[in-house]
Amino acid sequence: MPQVEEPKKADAVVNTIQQLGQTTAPVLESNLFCMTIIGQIEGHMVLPPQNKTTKYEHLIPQLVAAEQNSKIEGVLIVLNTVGGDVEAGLAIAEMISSVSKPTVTLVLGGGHSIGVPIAVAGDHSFIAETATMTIHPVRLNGLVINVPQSFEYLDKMQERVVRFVTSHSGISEQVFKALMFKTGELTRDIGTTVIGPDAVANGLIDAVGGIGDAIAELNRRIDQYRLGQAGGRIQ
Amino acid sequence: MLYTTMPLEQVLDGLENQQDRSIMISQGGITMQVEPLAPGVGRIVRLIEAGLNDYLRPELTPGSPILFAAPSEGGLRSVLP
Repeated sequence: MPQVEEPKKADAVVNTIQQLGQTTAPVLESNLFCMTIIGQIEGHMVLPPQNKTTKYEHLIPQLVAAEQNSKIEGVLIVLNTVGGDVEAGLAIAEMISSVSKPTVTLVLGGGHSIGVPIAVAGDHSFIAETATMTIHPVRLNGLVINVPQSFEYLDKMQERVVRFVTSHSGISEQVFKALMFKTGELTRDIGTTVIGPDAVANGLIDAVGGIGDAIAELNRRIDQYRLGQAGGRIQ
Repeated sequence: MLYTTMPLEQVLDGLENQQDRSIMISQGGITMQVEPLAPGVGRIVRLIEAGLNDYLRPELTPGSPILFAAPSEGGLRSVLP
């Protein structure tokens, strides 16, 4: 009953103004959940404060909530990340890929390193015309013991990223590895930076586009999903 | 293990000098770790115990400012009903 709910909402707003001196504008409920992944993806280690971070322990329950909440019909993932923790990034990517509701990813600015598997984890991926993605090998930091096992460990970590990306996008393992180990492209590292249309040409990302395209695609997939569910019920 | 394009020395700079000043508060049925900025004002570090839908509330995102009652001898009190 809107007549009953309205004064209640107004009361809540007045209360927050009185008690906290702040209020958030009343929002229309959206059927989309927008998840932003920015800066460093913070995983097992708390990073020093000069880093802007996205904490994976917050994103994972958010995805669970989005999957479970009946008001949410689709998830839009917006990325502008420089990478971060391998395990945390892969965990987020796996979570996104296993959400049953439609998911669309959009790379704005940059989706580098561990941002690459996250960018390809959705049902459909977009990249802005000027956005870039850096594909480079995983490096070891901290104390490294100079034994063959260290290399094998590194190789295994890298393989997890390669396997995820190649199985969730149109890029082949050969092309992805060629980009990853290319020399002469990056000044400080081995690897390649691909810009929007190049990422699409390589099959890494589905299309070049912005927020309008991403939302239109998500809405189209939501309609399809609804039809599928309705069809399921009849049976 | 970090997989990032940022130089590691820049990312990890100051790692050893980090001090954990965070406290645990509980309000509105949510237990969270908060870094105090001033008496009664803090910044959310992470949610420890919360309902699933609380994670969808933008005001509870890590990094958001929050008002809380200073923990007293008698335990944790809340400013919100």
